[in-house]
Amino acid sequence: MFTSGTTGVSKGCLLSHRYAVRTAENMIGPFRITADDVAYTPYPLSHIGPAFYDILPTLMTGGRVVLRDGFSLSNFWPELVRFAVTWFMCLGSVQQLLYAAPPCPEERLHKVTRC
Amino acid sequence: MPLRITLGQLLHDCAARFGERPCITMAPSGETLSYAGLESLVNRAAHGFRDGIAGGRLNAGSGHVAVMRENGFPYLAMSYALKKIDLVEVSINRAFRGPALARMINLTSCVTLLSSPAHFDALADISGDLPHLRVLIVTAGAEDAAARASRISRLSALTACWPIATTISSAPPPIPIPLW
Repeated sequence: MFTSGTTGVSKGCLLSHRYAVRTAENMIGPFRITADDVAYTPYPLSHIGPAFYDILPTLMTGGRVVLRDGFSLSNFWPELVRFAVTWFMCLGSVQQLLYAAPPCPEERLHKVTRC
Repeated sequence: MPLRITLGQLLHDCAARFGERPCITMAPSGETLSYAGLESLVNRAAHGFRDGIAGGRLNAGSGHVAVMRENGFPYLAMSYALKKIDLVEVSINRAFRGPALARMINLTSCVTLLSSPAHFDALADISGDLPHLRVLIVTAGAEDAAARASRISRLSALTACWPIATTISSAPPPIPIPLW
């Protein structure tokens, strides 16, 4: 997996299966992820976020992942409501986009408890 | 989880444990795969990679295999299929272009790239800078992929595997064959 390149050229990192499992376990405990949870991830699967922080913890606990091919501001809150999403990874840029967006009814109807 | 479990074994165990519970839902379509359904797709892809695609090139000795795809069931299925047959997946950021994209693919000397027709233009732009890449495995749009593959000059084989397989070498036209 490659680093994103924020601070320079992307570096290739060789990640073991054990690293992936331990990373997921480190999400399950603090985020209290259970079989009743629904995660939402619109981020690319080449990124560590959806692969190890969203999908893998869900697989290990029996919940559901809602996967989207690309972030959509206009569809964000409506999809969280439609799919009964309970948690998502809130990247810094996503926070800024959501904060700047005009209010929509669904932003008060969702079931998200953690991000 | 056991300390030494692999991700392929983990998926197998989770599928046995959670069965028909919904596992992955695509937005906005709502199309859903159960745990058992995902495991089944992964196993089919793994068998296809090992036995049926690209002349059986993919096995534990194939080393690193690059993946440059849009989010979806095929990406997940192929990613976990690589894990099941003990290959190292190289995740390529599909937003990259030009020299940065070529560098990402070349750093691990990948011979095989799992992709889709959506990325043919980006690959064609760097076709002269991919000295190791020989096999491109794409999903859907086999005929379109075949027509455009000629732009990626160094590739000797192209296989479309979802849901049919088309192997293209030197003698067009491609003949689609059921893979799984």
